[in-house]
Amino acid sequence: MITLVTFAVLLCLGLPIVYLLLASSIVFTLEVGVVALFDSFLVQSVRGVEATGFLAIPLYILVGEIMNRSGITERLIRSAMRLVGSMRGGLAYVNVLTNAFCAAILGSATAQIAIMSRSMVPEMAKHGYDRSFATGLTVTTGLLGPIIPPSMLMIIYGVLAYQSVAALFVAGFLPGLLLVIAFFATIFMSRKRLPDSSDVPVLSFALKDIGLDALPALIPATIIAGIISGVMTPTEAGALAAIVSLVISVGVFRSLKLADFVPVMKAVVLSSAAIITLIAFATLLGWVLAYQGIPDLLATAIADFSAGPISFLLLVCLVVFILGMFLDGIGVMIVIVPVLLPVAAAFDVDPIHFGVVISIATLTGLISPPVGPGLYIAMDATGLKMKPIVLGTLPFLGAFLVCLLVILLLPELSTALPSFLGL
Amino acid sequence: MRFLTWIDGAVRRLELALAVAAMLGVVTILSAQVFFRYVLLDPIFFAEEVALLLLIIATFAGLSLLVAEECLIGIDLVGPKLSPAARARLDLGMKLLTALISGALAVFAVSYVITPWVWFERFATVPLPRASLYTLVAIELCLATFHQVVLILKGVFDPTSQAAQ
Repeated sequence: MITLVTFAVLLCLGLPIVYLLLASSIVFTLEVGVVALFDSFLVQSVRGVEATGFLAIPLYILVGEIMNRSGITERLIRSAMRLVGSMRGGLAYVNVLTNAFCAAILGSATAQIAIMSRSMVPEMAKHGYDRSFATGLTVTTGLLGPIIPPSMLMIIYGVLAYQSVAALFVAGFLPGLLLVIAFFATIFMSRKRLPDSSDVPVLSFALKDIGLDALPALIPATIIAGIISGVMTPTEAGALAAIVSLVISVGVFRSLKLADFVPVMKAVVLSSAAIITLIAFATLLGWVLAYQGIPDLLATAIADFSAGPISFLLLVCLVVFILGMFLDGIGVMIVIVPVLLPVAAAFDVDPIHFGVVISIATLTGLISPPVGPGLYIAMDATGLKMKPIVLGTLPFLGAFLVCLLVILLLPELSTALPSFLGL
Repeated sequence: MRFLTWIDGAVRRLELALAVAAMLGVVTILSAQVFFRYVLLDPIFFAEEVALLLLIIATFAGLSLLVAEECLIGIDLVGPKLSPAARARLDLGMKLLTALISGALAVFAVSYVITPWVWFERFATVPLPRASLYTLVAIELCLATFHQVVLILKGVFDPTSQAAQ
């Protein structure tokens, strides 16, 4: 109880999340009075990140960083504009499609929300879109990042649940597509409120320009082809994608100079450290809690409340949503997955399906007030207050939740593609 | 204060060099592994363990840099509702608490690595004791605490430079 109160108070006061996890571990250890656990804090933190699957994280961050500095966002926006820009409310569709393209390269929702809020929202506002609508759309479609492969959350789930990361990457494809269709449908339903796209810049349809703007597609193609063919592990595919992105940026776009080397690597170090230390200290907290059997109690309570696999998954989504409002998605996953995976197995829930559902459910917390970090990132990028952003997200969050329910009810959406490909 | 700031900056640059070198090592080893495995059909047997070791070094050096550059992510629900003076006091309190927590972990880490028996365990493919990695991590945790203390001192004795940063 003391730990829970400490956690809540320090969270509200703004203690950095990694230190919040550490503080909770220390307070809990003191609360239960087993100070001998302190001797193992270092080893448990380091062992938490000592899984080869995590090697993929800096590689995919490097790919995103290289492509971001090469002006990839503008190229992706142009590619999307050629496809859907001429429709009424064209920029809204462009926003969704660019986010889907970005998701196939970046793999992180927060990075995507930050990038897209700075590029798409001003552009949409300039063409007469309501800023609240534009920001809400950008924030919600940013959630595609960890669903469409490659995905940081899937890598972490794969390591925690001893599942094939390749299968998880592929499993996210159909749910991602379903979400894109749902976002398109939501925009279509609100088309009367959207401006005509007649003043959207006319783009060149010359083959060379189309080809150059579509070139970044080589990166997800490398990743997906490498993984699906079974030739490469996700880590090796990430390494190859890093090489491909470097060749494209330096050799074709000529947008990356030698002087960019240290800033790029520094950004990779800081972003990786932010994610991996979160894994380390969340693992430590999970270990400390496990010492007192807290996870077992939670698992038993959820199992007791559940009548079958569907009610179990719904309850998990609720727990994850509530936790996700106060804790980073990675932290939620590390605390929840080892606890609930055995219960999921007892209910005959496919572990790949469970991974997809839990990853998507975790994302809802990212844009839910009062804590939703995605909202804060958008507030920082657009200068809007939380209320208009939340109002703007509502229709798209509704579509997102309906899709989550469909994905939850139809395990085949997650499992069919990996089974078909023999992963 | 100027001397402390100079030391802090020098340590920060060293850590950045270490972290970037380690991360570059991770990328190089894993890219080389793709070439060795699929082109030369002769995988590097130590690649994954060395890459993981370098990743852990880069991660904890990165944590220390995140502390030094005040880039750690937190959710500030109360701060925006306070007066500037109260907010400054809250910030100082949070920094003190962060230093305390960081210091506690550093103490646990140092007390672990100075235990003689932990030096017997070795890596599978690298001819080094695992405690050498733990020692590096412990050093980084100490440096993270040092950076946090410097930030606190700067905030107290030199608030203008802190605000400019």
